[in-house]
Amino acid sequence: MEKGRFTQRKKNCRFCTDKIKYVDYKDTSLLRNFVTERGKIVPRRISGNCASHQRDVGQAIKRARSIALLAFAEER
Amino acid sequence: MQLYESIFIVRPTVTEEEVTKVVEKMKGVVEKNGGTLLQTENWGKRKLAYEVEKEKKGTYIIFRFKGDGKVINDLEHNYRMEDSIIKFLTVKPSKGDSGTLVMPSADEGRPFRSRSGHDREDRRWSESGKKAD
Repeated sequence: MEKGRFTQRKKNCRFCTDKIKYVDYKDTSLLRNFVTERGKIVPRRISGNCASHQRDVGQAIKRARSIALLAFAEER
Repeated sequence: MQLYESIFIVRPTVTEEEVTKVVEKMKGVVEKNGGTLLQTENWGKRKLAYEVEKEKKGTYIIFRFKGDGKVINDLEHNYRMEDSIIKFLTVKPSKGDSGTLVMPSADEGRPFRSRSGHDREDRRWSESGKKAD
């Protein structure tokens, strides 16, 4: 069977597989997986998170930014 | 009664004793308003992700307490009055929070690197004829 050029394996939400209920804004090493080098939040289609966990991650990143644990924009 | 988590950053130029003084004062504010402190944590001096009031470092203090909304009003009012506090945040931790106040590791971690190039600020810059850097 011929595969299309953009065939991609299905990503699974890592929070659902790990059964994590609460995304902590203080856990910067975890949150850093979901921001780009420039500090942007990685979109769901790239991160593979489910909708509710992506919302939690987004909320946590915004909180972390507000208390200077994460940068709003990383200088290059 | 509601569970709250309050975190504030003390200016790095402030001495240890003065930090303890500020912490004691804020504890007093919580208790005066009928709140009960559950946990207090001092993360020590940490590098800030960005400059806040010209400071690059700061001492992080975290409170976890039960109380009414008026505690927050008074506490945040006191935060604003205190010159040594440069930033603060109060949140209601949702259900499922384990309540661990572990200090985030100081390492930079592995930044997300896109292979598909979706983070294309630099590309957009170069497209519009400007330099990326």
